[in-house]
Amino acid sequence: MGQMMEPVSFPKLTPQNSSKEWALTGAKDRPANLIKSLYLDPSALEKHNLVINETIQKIKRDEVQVETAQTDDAEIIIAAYGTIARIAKTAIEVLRGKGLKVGLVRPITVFPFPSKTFEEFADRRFLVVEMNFGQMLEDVKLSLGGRTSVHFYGRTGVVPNYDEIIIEVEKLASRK
Amino acid sequence: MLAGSRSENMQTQLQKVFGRPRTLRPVATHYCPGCGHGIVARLIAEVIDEFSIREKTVGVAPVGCSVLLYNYLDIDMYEAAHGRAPAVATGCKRVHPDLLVFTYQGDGDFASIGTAEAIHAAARGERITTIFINNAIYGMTGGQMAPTTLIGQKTTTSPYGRTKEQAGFPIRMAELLATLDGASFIARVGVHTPKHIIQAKKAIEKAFSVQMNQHGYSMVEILSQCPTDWGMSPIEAVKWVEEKMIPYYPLKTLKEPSE
Ligand SMILES: Cc1ncc(C[n+]2csc(CCOP(=O)(O)OP(=O)(O)O)c2C)c(N)n1
Ligand code: SF4
Ligand SMILES: [Mg+2]
Repeated sequence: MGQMMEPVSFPKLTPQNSSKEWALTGAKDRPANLIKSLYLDPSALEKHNLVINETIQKIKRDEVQVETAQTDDAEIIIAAYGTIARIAKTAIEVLRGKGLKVGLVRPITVFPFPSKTFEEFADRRFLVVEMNFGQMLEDVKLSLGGRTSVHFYGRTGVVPNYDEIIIEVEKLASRK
Repeated sequence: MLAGSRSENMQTQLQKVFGRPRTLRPVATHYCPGCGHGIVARLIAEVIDEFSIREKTVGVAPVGCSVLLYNYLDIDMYEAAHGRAPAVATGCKRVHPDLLVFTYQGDGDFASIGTAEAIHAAARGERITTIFINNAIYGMTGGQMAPTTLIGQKTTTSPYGRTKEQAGFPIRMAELLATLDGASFIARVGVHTPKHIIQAKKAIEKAFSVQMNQHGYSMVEILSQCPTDWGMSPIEAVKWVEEKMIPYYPLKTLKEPSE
């Protein structure tokens, strides 16, 4: 978080007393508690992994965060997060001014990944823009399951300008 | 009849002078015959009982033969990832300043993958205690070279003996940490003879009282036998500690609070 380029604001943290029965507070008037992940017995290990997996599934259900913008009539959707999403919004304004129907899906969480949101737009074409060689690209493709075309534009080391994104979208639009 | 009354007489005369510490669970350990770990587990249990702090002690055991300590001590315990015990202990102690919090770490753990955490916990003067089991080898994984492996010592990854040209010099963690202002009590002891075991217990007592008296970081380095991975009998192993380890890792108290 100390490295984030976008501003982050936190609620004020106040210390809280929690009385979790598993907490390690000294084994007074109760059996000793143990927090561990090492299970040498294979079936005990699998049981533990199933419990962890339940939590992961719950996170996937409850903790997805995603922003969509101007997707209703969009024919081309840009998928981008962080700084690039901000630049993409400028590009979309310009493209809309030129009459192109372009929208944005901005994952706020990349784990859990907002696959459902992408699935909803499986009838549109996608341009994934990232500041790397395509770290989110595979997640987008997996979510769309080959039902539509997914294109990619990446810069590495350079923050792309919005006009670069405009050129990419126009190339895509002209291909139909 | 006669036999019965005789044994009754004997019972009234017998006085219990030695038993299992309350904090040591009545279970068999997984340690190999002649291993130092089991001795230290018992010493920690004895000290906890003598200070009557079983109900306010939390231990942290990371990866290594050390990790199963949580099966032997009847206290609240965390397992930590390899090398990360001082971080877990720091969190625990800062949230619960009234608890006695200690880590129990091997040399592969404390002096290799966890060196950064070890040094910074000591530098911060964290009010935690580390019991550091230096057996000059990676025990659990089958005897690979550790940062504490002696020059010339054969391990599975130094089959012709460690050379300084290839692997540099063994690290003396006690001396290293004693240079830090945040460290309040640093000592090195052994558990290879009854005399040394008694001294080791005193050092653990001292380290725990340093923590309870609100001084900074405390650490007891314990030279410990690993007959299995040294390829020795238990008797050869205790001799090896005396003849090879102690000359390089001298037993002493390197730092203690002035009182
Ligand atoms: C992150 C990680 N790396 C490597 C391992 C494999 N591993 C398990 S025990 C161990 C060595 C432990 O040696 P030491 O700390 O000296 O403890 P000992 O068994 O000698 O008491 C290693 C490398 C692991 N469990 N986790
Ligand atoms: S491998 Fe070594 S350290 Fe581990 S239990 Fe056996 S003797 Fe002890
Ligand atoms: Mg070791």
